[in-house]
Amino acid sequence: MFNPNYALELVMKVTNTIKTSVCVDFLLAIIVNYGNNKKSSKRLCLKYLKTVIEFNCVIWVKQGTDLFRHQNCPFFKLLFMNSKSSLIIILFILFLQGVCFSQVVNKSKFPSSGWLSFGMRSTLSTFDGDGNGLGYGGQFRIKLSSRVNTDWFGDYISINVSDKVRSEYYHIGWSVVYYPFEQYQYPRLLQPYILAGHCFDYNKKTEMANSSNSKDRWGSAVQAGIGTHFNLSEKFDISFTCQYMLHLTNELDADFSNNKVTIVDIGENTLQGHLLSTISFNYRLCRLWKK
Amino acid sequence: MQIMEKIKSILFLLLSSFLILNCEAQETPVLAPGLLSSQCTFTPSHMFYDKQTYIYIHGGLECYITKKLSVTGEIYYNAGALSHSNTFDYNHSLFFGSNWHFTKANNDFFLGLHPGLSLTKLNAKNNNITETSAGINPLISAVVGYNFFINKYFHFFLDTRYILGDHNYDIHKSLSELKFSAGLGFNLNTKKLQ
Repeated sequence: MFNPNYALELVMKVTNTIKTSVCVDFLLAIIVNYGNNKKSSKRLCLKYLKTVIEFNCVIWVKQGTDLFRHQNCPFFKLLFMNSKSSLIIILFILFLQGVCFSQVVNKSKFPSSGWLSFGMRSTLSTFDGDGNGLGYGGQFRIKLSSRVNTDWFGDYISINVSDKVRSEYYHIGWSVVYYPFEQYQYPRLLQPYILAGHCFDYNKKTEMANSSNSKDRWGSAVQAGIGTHFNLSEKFDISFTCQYMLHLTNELDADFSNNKVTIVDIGENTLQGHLLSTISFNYRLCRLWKK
Repeated sequence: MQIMEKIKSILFLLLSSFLILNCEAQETPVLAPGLLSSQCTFTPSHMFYDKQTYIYIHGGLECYITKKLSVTGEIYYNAGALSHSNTFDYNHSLFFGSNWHFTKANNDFFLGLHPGLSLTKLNAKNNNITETSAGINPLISAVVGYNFFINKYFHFFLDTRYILGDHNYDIHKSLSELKFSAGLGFNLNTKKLQ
């Protein structure tokens, strides 16, 4: 038979393990409201749901919210009137609970600014006139505030142009990273951001079979895009970024005619660029300043 | 009959030693934040482009940030090929990345993503070129593996790495390769166990 005390123990175990009970509660709510047709099982499930809600109340009380101090408050009567209203209320509760957790996290564990992170990156270059290529590099980040971070990077990208020419890009630059959702830090997994910045760009094209046939150019570029951190621990994250880099300089072009490779400098600024998809591994080393 | 008895006794010894090791491992859990793990072994590989087997000396160092997350750096020194028609004179590589671990007791199954770099040089004779030059190529690799921590100093490891990349010097060659590593590794807890 159903035992509410056992259910409470079970929920506490699961919830303590994953820190927030959001996912568990949400799944339970769905099961309770839509997964049962028989009246008896529905009654049992509602009891179970009540246990879950009571447990959440304990958490809220712990967090200092004074909304539900007593189980006989009118809120509970409303809650168990019917299953649909309970689902809506649970969703609202989950939202509140999430806000509570994130605020606790922001204030206690993660001071917002001054963090210096260091990491390595791998970049896939696509939609380039030369073709697709793979790159490797590194970056460090300095976080200026809870919503603004800066990304200082350097990378090397090598592109195979029609099996005849090697096109190498060297980028040294910086980006400003803006977080639209301030509270999305660890233990939240995803922390989305938008970014834009500038970099110095060196391109060298060399004929593979004849390394003396080569041309290079220095230039400048701007880039902008979107991305997200995957916060895997308090100090470690993996970040996926997708940004378009626009070259503000003359381009080099490889011409293959009559089985001869000619590398030419196009005399005008053609505003060409490439899409850079980057995965980076970052570790917070230290805090440079404190408020 | 004697042979069968010998086989049985050997199997019994192996099983009992495994159980003893397992009991010891369970008594002293070593998988914890701050665990440093190092490995060194010979690694065979299969290169998809020329369908050849290369041999590497493989070294790695891994640090567990949490029980489920680690950062790792690994190096492969190309020690030669099994045949004389090898495409590359050498193909050394270096990787840095992180692993996500699925642990139970001292069993540790992991998945990882490691960007890297390789230093390659084509074999001039086998590629019909007069002269070849060495070059650096970016790589990316995915890793699947398993560790069994015997005690707080040793572990068995087994991993497979799939590498993607291109050699773009002299003649274009794909660096897609599958590497297999296994052996005995050393580990040390740098933080006091709770």
